[in-house]
Order: sequence, then C-alpha cells, then structure tokens
Amino acid sequence: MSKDLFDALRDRGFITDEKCDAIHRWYDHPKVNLYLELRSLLYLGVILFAGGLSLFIYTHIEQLGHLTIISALIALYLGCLVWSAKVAKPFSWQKVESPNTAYDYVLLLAALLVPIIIAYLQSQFNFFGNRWSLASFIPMLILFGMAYFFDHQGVLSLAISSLAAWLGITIKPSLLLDFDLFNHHELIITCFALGVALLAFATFIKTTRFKPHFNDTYQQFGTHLAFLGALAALIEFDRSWALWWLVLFALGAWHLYQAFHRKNSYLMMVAILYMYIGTCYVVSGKILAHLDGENEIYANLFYYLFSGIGVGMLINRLHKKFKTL
Amino acid sequence: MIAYNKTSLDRRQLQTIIDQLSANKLLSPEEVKNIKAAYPSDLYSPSIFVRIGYGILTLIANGAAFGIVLLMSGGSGIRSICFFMALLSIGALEFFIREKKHYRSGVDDVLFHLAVIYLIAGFTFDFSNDSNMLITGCLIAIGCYIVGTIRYLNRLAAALIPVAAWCFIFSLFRSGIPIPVYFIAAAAMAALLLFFNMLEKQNRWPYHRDCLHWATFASAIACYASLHYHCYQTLRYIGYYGSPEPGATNLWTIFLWCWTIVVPFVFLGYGIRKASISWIWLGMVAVLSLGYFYHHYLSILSPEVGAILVGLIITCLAGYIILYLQQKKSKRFEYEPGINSDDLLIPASLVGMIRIHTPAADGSTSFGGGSFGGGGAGGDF
Repeated sequence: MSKDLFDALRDRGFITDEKCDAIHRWYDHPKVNLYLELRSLLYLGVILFAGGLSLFIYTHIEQLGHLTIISALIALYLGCLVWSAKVAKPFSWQKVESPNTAYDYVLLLAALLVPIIIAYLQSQFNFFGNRWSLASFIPMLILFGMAYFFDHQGVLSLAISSLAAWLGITIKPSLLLDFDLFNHHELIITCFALGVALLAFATFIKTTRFKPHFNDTYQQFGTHLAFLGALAALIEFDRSWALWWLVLFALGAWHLYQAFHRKNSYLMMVAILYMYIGTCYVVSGKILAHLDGENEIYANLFYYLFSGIGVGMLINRLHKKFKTL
Repeated sequence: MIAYNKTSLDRRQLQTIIDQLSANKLLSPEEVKNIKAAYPSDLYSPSIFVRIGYGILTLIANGAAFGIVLLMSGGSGIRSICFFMALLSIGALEFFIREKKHYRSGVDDVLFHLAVIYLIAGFTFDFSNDSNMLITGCLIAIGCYIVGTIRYLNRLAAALIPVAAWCFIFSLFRSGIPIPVYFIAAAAMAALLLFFNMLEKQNRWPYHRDCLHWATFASAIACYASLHYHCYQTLRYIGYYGSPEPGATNLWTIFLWCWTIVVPFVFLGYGIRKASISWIWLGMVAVLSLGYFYHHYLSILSPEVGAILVGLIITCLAGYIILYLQQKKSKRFEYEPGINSDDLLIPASLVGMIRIHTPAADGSTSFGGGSFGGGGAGGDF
C-alpha cells in the first residue's frame, strides 16, 4: 500500500523519482530508532546513581568515615570533569555540539555531584561556618561555569535552580527551617523579580553572541517564576491586589506577543492559563465574595461557565490566527 | 458510524505520514509544504499544550453547568440531572465534531469522558449495594467505551474497554476472590489482546487502528496485572474488613513471582523480535517497575544500594547498546536523532483520494513547470 501511495504522489508531481525510490527503500527495510528510549534510560540511570549515592552517604556516614566519603566524591567529580574536558570540542560562545552521547551524561553526573559535595562539606566539616548563603552560592558559581564552559543546558537548569535557592536563603535564612514559602512577602517579591530578571536576560542574550541558544532555558524558568510570583502576590498582598492583577496581565501580554513572534503555542497556553487563574481569583475572591449566600454560589457558577467557554473561544481564535502566521 | 468525515481523516493521515518522512529527512520542507497545501485537512487537532488547556476549560465549564442545574433543581432528582448532563455533553461533543471539526482537541476527549461519568453516576446513584453498583458501573462503562471507540475514535476509551472488563470480572467476587478467578481474568485479557491484535492487523478498520493499538496494550497490561503479585496482595483484602483470607501457599506465591518477573521480559523480547517500539516501551516500563515491587516485598538490599546498582546497570546497558548501534551492526534498529513510531497504516481510500482527486490549487503549487496550479502548464510557461 505504501508503494501505491508514493507512486501516486510521484505521478502527481509532488515527489521526484529518486525521492520515491528512497521512500520505498525506507518502507521496505524499516529501522526502528531507539534514540529516545536509550537516552531516557541513560537519564534514569544517572539520576538513580546520583540519588542512591547521596542517600548512601547520608545513611552510612558513621561506618565509612568522613574523609573516605569526601575523597571518593571529589575523585569521582574530578574524574567526570577531566574526562569531559578531554573529549569536549573547543570552547565557543556559540552552540557547541556534544562530541558523543556519554559526554552529556557524565557531565550531568558531575553537576549532580556538586551540590552533594558542598552539602557534605558544610554539614560534616562546617566548611562555610554560619554563612549558609555561601554554601549555595559556590555550587551556583561552579554550575554556571560548567554550563557555559561545556555548553550543557541540563547543567544550566541546575545552575538556575541553585541561583533561586541562593537568593531565597540570602533573603530569608529562616527558610531553611520553614516550608511555608508563600507566607513570606520578601520571598514572593524575590521570586517575581528573579523571574522578570531571567526573562530580561533571556531576551538580551538572544541578541548577543554569548550562547544565544541558552535563551530558551532562561525563558522557561523566568516565565514560571514571574507568573507564580505575580499570582502569589495577587493572593497575599491585600492592599495592592489590583496592581498585581495588572502586572499579571502585562506579563501575559508580553508572553502572548512572544508566542506569536516565535510561533510557540506552549507560551500562548501558559500565558492564557496563568491570566485566567489570576482573574478567577479576583472575580471569586474579591468581587463576588461581597454577594450573600446562594447568590454568591450562582454568580460563581455562571462566571465559571461563561468564562470557561469564553476563554476556550479565545484560545480557538488565537490558535487559528497563530497557524496562519 | 464514525462521527468524522472520512476524507478529512484520510488527509490527516496523509499529513502524519508526510511529517514522519520529513522528520527522517526523506522529504524536503518544500515538498512537505506542497503536499500539505494540496491535501489540507479541515480537522482541528492542536498541539498537546493547547489540548491540555482546552481540556481544563471544558472541565471547568461543564462542572459549572452541572452545579447550576443541580442548584436550580434544589438538589432533588440527581439521577435525572446526571442523564440530562450526559445528553448535554454528548450533544456538545457532536456539535464540536460536526460544526467545529474538533478531532482529538481536548474538548472532544473531555466531553466524551464526562458523559460516561454522568451516565455511570445516573445509573448507579441510588444503589444501596456496593457490589451491584460496581458491576452495573463496569457494564455501562464497557458499553460506553465501545461506542466511544467506534464512533468517536477515542483512544483512551479503547484502552479502557479491557480495564473495565477486568474490573467487571473481579467485581463479581466481592466477598473473596478464589484463585481460579485470577487465571480466568488473565485468560480473558489474553483473549481480548488476541482479538484487538487481529483487528489491528486487518485493513478493515483503518480509521480505528490507533484505538485498536491502545486497546491491545491495555489488554496486555491487564493480562499481566491479573496474576501480578502486587495485584493479588491488593485484591485479596477486598471484602474483608479484618484479616484477609488465609495467605497464599508457597507454590502459588512462587508462581505469582515467576509471572511478575518473567512477563516484562517477554514483552521486551517480543518488542525486540517484532521491532515494535510500543512493545519495547511496555517491556521497559514493566521491567523497571520490577525494581519497585522487588523492593516493596522482598527487600534484601537497602534502597540506596539498590538505586546505585540499578542506576549503574541501566547506564552501562544503555551505553553498550548505543555503542553497538552506532557501529551500524543491527539491521533492524538504529540510534539516530529523529522521530520514531510504529509503522503507519496507509488506508486504501487514501491512495484512491490522491489518484482520483485533483489537488486543491493555491499560489504555492505549480505543476509542470508553469504558474497554473493543477491542470498543466500556464500561459507563461
């Protein structure tokens, strides 16, 4: 049947004879590509190994001895780093292709070992004293350095996460003992500011020659941190909620512009859903909350019915416009 | 029988085949553009992110509609309200398919499954007996999912047919499940697997091939689960509110463990033998799940040592396979960046469509070297 289809396409003039023969050969001897499957297995293997190792150290500190553990960890880290440096292609500020598959994962293992080593040094040897922010600042610097030197977006993600942790700990040291994150007003502002800064940086590096392909990673973190910060502020800050609602919409408008500019439906959906969540909070929690009893319930239900349909229609319209670009 | 226009489905299938060829660098972007422009599909199938968004919004609007109807009725006649909402959901689903041409857009998926939930709730609402409620619910679900598969080409509905059948078998024995029932369930699921696989291989159901594929895999999983040690341990507590029925004999336990361990490798081996990416995925996930169940029931190694060992084994194994494939020694497998999927079925009607129909002409298509789209060269040739 495949032969008939591609012959028909060739007869119609859509494909050349050579292409048609190549497609027939491909269909006659199909090869199953295990790229995604094997890469998923490698990721899982490296994460299991690093996770198991950190748990192993935590539970066997007494038996193994601190010096043995830290020496082994540093040796493993340096081994990974030296091997990666040896096989890596020459440094460039542009995108550098990875030399082989193992390279990506050995580097990822090295990056995962960085926080383990620093945390171990701090908890057992009190390496940084009471300066906890330094204990998160050093791994952040190392990870950023590794990400840029070896051109690895996975390591860059770890570095940005470290940056967020460092900022959080620096601004609110009690965070180490407190899991109720969004009750801290400083943290909400920090989260939002970091998100906006990452978005601005993502936009900036795209226009420069310094690793412009890192733009997507910065944008991903920036988008979610900025939206989550704005949403948390909208809910937490009673006096300035209207301002934060506007900020949420400004962020959404900027993301919609980016979505259309880059033909990215993911950005469009993220922006619309975050704006919708914020608006639902304002309508239900601020406006309709003044109604009494059953009226409030009816008003809310009608709001959700019509807003659900309305936002669905808006997405439909935007998405169709999007496809014609 | 199918709610969608068959020509539209054919054209969408053509676009999927063209995308697959393009991802494997067998067609140029220009050729892809020309073919897609000549045979456009009017079906609206957005990307996964947009689908998720549509799904969430449909759920919100539908839930709010249910709340309004419930409040207006004063909380009485919930059964009628459920039937009314089921009808409303199906009506909306038909509208979106016929008028808005939605096909796997998120809206149609959610509307169909909500209708099924309303129907089950409507039929079983005032059952006082849990067992009867479960049996009736499973039977209604099976009926609805068969309709959903045949008419709406809903893949999740197809996968839920064997799942509902599996639940139905076990729901018949609420006060203790005799050992033969586990075998009966496994045999029934194996029969379903063979049935769906047979239908999938025939060209008689070209538009349902995806659904049959999903149903085959769901049957395989249900068959494996029927005699899985963890399922046995979970199910034997059903119907007992104190201690469960007497524990398993040694022989039975050994059999269950053998089944639990061997079947994932059978899936994986079958996938490799048939060079089927879906079976390989199923086998991989099932083999990896063994680690969890092994740790849960027969923990000999500590979790951290287990994680280190499994991590090392997986990494080394994957690394070895990559090195092997990179040497191009395998005739059936390769390791190259690109899209992969099980072979795509080419319906006879698709070939007929291209042979018979004159393509839709637009400014970008110029055949025979001229400026005129379709019927030969134009005046300026």
